[in-house]
Amino acid sequence: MKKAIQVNIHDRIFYIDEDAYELLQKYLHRLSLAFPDEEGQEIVSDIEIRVAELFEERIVLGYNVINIDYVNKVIDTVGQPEDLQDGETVIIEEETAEESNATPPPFTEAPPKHEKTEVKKKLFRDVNNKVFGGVLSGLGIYLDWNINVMRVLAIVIALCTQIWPCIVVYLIAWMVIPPADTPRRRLEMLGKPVTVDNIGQDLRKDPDQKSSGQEFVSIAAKIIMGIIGIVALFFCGGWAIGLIFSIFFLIGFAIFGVGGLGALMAIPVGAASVLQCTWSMLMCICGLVLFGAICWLSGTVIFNWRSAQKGTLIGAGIIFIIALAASLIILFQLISNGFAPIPFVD
Amino acid sequence: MDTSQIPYNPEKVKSQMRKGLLEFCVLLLISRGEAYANEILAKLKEANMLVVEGTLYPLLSRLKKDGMLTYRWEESPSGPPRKYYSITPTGQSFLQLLQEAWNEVASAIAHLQK
Repeated sequence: MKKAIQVNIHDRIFYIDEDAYELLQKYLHRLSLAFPDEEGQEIVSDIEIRVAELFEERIVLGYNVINIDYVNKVIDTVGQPEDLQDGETVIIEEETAEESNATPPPFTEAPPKHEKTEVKKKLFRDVNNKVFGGVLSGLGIYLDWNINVMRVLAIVIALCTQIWPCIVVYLIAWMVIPPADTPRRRLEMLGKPVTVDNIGQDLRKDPDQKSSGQEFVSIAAKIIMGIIGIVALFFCGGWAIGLIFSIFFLIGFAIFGVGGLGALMAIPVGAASVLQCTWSMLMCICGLVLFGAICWLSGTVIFNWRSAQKGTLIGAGIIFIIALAASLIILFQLISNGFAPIPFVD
Repeated sequence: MDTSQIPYNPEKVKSQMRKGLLEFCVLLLISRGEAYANEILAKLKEANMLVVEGTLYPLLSRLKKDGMLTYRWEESPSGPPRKYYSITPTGQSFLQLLQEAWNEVASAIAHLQK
């Protein structure tokens, strides 16, 4: 969801995304600095009209809101203020530029384009360069390590630790680390200051193009995730059946006493106890949450499902932790009882 | 032909040539009848004379200031009102001069290329 702003350009109303609005405002401001005098104001006003016409063309095509991509396109069409100076001015400007070794032209107050000041990087998942969730590529950017080194290292560590622990850690990292899915987050990930100019530049040079190599990797990733997803789905089914059974048995205990429901249904319950049933129910909940999360993650890779809301994640995490903790406590109690069934209080 | 050895940026040279001739082109277009910025833009783009649209506006402003052009506002059926430009007698005679200058240059180049 994005905030859109209503703007009035020469008595025409347009809806425009907030970031697009910032970029446009900055652009028009730079234009008015490039054309400061009275005639200049008329030029800027003419260009504004042109921008409004270009927006109108977009609206006619059925787009209700102007986004930052389109504003960038409009700026490319109309031109940067530096490129719009009329004939005579250009020559003077070029001479001064040569003398002072390309200092920014005096009429722009904008900072130099290639900002050197690095802001502290933040850890994000680099979703533009991902195999599964972009955890490793994001970490690579954060640590300034080569992405291929990161991936090979991860595979080696995974093989040394019998794979599963690494998969669990990766999945947790996937859920916890936010994706760099907005221009602002991308800049924060790269450690660049978040300025409107930078946002514009980042969007320009990053039209979401993938090389054939990446294409292959992502297809391979989809296949692997598909297999993992199907296996996880089977596990989910198993856990769900287990959960239903253990709940049934617990209800049976509550109503009919020891092994009551099982006896009623002619199922050999044996030495099943309330604690054992509770334990298996909690384990089933843990398994269901964990494998459900894996299923859903594979869905996000294969079918581009939307990432879950933070609240859902936190909720699932809390359920998982509580169930796990409770099941461990019960397990400890069961062990200390030598797995002996605890008689149900009659 | 390998152009990488040329010390000048060919795009820059081209754009300077275009810039120099833009004035002539614009006067030429407007001398054929009233036009508003969009029509001029469309024709200039068609002729590949324009890199960025914005270049036109400072030029129109200067030509107007120098008395070569004049404009009137007209409401448009869709979108903001439009400025319709027309050429003045001064503009006409200046265009005449430019036309002659162009003919001279063109024939000079043609002569040298023989």
